[in-house]
Amino acid sequence: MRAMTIHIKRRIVQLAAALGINWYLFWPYLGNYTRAFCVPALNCWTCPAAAFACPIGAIGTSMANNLFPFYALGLVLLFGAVAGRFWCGWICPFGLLQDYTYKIPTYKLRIPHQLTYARYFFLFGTVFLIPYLANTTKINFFWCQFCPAGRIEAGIYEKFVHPAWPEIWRLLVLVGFVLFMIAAQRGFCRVFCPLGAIFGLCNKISFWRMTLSGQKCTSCGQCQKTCPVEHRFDTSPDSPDCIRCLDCKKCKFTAIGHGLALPGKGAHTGQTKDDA
Amino acid sequence: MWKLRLILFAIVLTVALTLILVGILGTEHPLPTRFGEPLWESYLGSDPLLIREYSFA
Repeated sequence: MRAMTIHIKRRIVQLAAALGINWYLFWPYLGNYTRAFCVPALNCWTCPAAAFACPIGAIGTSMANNLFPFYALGLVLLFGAVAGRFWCGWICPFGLLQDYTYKIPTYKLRIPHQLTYARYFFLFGTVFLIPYLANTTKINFFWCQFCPAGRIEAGIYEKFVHPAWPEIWRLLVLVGFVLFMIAAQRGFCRVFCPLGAIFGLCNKISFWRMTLSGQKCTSCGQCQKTCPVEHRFDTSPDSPDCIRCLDCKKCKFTAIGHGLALPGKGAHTGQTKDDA
Repeated sequence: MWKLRLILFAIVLTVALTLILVGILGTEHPLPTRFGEPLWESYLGSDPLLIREYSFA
């Protein structure tokens, strides 16, 4: 019952965040002031409803203009330092979309762990290096040119405003992403998302984090079955793959918790506030 | 172990806040704009479609 409540809470927060990040749909007269702020989520700022900026779009476009993305990168690191990939599990509207598309009954894929390292390629390659070297955003390998969040949130609207048949490769890439999201749980988050790559690196040092009680954990592996990213929590509570959705708190041994990184609390060392 | 985590967290936090401050105060364009004008001015009263064309070919 406790875990079910967490799941419902998360859905409510995700929906509220999706609407809040795209409040321009409901109140377009407030002005564009909030677009100066990057949210910790993949929400294309080209979307007409987007009230905030996408940090990855901001970073990539800065690099394409040969400007170091001080502000956008600083915001991303701030969010990552505070809570790691918590934003992926609770705030990102694209993550919410994936949670629901995975419910479509089809053949499901298991993603090999090695494939999850590809998101670092997309981060350093398509967000930093390629736009910087090309000195333009009008290159097909720039992240925003094929980002599915942008295609779905803004590209569809753009085709109504500027009707035109989309380039075939863009359509194929989008269809590929959507099919992948249907077949693999949080597949995009695990394999492609550059924002998740940065936040994942911050999982190890974030102020808010997950904890594991070594004394209570029996290594039953149930956490992996409930985990949206199929992560075995007891092997690495601060894994870069963990989106901190707290679904694993269904653990019947109550071995999994969360809290602030304060003195006396340890993760994966068998120590918790109760044990210390 | 927690000391190391706290130190690393403090370092990343300091770097993040420094980057944000430098970005806002030290550069002309905190966020990129299409025509080079500062972000705040480009957003105030300008055609929002300018931004919408930015990421797409």
